[in-house]
Amino acid sequence: MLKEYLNIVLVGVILLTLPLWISVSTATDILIFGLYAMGFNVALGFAGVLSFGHAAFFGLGAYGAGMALRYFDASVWISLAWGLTAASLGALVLGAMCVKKRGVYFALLIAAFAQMFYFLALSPLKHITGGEDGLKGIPLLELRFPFHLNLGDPHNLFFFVLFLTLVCILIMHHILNSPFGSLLQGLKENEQRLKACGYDNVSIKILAFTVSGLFSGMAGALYTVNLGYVPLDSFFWLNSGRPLVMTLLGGMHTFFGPLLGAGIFIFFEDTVSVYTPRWEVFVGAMVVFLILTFPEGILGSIKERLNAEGGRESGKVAMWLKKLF
Amino acid sequence: MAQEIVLETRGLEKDFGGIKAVHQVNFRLPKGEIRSIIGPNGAGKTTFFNLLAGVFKPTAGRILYHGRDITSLPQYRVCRLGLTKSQQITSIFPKLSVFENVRLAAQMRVTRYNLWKRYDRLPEVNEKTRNILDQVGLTQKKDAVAANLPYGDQRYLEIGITLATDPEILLLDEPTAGMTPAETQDTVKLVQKLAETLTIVIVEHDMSVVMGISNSITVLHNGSILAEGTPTEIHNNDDVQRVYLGGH
Repeated sequence: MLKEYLNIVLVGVILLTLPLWISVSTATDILIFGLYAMGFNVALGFAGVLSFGHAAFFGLGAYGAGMALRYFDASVWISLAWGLTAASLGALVLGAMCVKKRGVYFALLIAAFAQMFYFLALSPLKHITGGEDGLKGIPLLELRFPFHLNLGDPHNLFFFVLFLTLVCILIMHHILNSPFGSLLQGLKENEQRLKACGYDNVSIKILAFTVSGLFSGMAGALYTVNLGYVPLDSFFWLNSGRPLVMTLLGGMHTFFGPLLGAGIFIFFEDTVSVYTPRWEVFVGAMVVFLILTFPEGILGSIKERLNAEGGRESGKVAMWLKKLF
Repeated sequence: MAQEIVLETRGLEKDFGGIKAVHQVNFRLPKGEIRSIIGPNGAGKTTFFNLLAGVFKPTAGRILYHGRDITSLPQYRVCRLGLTKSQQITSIFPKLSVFENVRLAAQMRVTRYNLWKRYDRLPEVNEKTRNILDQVGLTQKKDAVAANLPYGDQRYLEIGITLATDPEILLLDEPTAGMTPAETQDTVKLVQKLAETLTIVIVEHDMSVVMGISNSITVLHNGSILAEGTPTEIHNNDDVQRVYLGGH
């Protein structure tokens, strides 16, 4: 029982120590975008569905939570739930509408819908979304249940986000190892065969996409709690590209790859942007370098290496390590 | 006493851009039979199979399964009713293990959208998977990656996946294609064994296989049924001799 979750416990411990060696706000960002990328990868890496529009779900989560906080004076928990609900409903509806299209057509359709959300938030719904300025005026956040915690303190905030991220990772892990989760591999490997086995491939895809949107939405909702306001950029197409880059960086065929990718990406982004406003050039160059060095992503390439080692006599440690990914 | 008809088509038609691949086929399949479908290349055998399994929708005509109209059902629903096809071109989940290939299919009758249980802790599914691997002779290789199996074993795996969906009628599209003579022999034995509990329709090119295992044979020619009967009747049928068996 515990052995199955050993990898999550290990990752949890590593994440817990993050504020010791990087700034606490960078660490919080890494958690949020790590969760975003992992959610995104449920669709890409596990179900084989590429989306260029996950910003829609991240944004729905962010605005859903933000509006609950701003207009209904909801508690942090309730507003997170609002964000989650908005994002999963969005993913369910968009998924159902676009799922019959395949590959890049699907990806671009979702991207188009995400941009529609962006422009809706920018202008027609300006009076409630705050338009270009983003949604401001969210009161200072504090946790009232189960104990009092001032989320204005960056360390408290970090631990709160860490706790929820780990809970999400645990649930995600569970879903991917469920009977439904096992179907996703079949879906990715040979959709036609899965259909011939009596499975409704379309419904499976929609559900997988919804699960993916749900976790991305959770990340968006946490983003709001973290920043204390909702930037309009949450919906912008560049924000759809971020989880894709992070996922490819870490390894789309691994569970934790996207989290590692997010860690590296955000760490470099935060570090380099201190020295130069043209940080994209340097981060871009680094991404290119890493992807050329690790074609399967960093964790993915390590896993491949360990697979090869596992066949040899000295493979015991390798086999053991492999189980962690 | 008339045997129960499990599968029937009435006036089945399929056009592909004006070409009638299947034309006015009235087909009746009694329970428990091994039926072979033969015919020259392009006779419409595979199209006919795809119509039965719900992969293609017919242009006209109806398909009845136990008297129930299944013409417009999607393929996965047809499969759940108990009518499953194994492909002519080997179709498996290449990167998954042999066990997982069969397990995925075996899971279908037990649970589909369960998000909370562990997929590898469904005792009845695992049990069924082991039984099927045993039947198709792949128990020794259950942990191998499917793509690494030799071709013959991949064909057995495909049959195993098909069996795991608990079919009542099994549609086998050229199960022995590309097999060695020894593997073909094993396949014939397997099909005969399966026929003890299943109704089987088989498209096959190897005449010795066809003549050996079939209870009856349907000959398709240009999309229509040319003749139907026992292996002996078909062998002695002049029309069949002329269009198909040629000089044999």
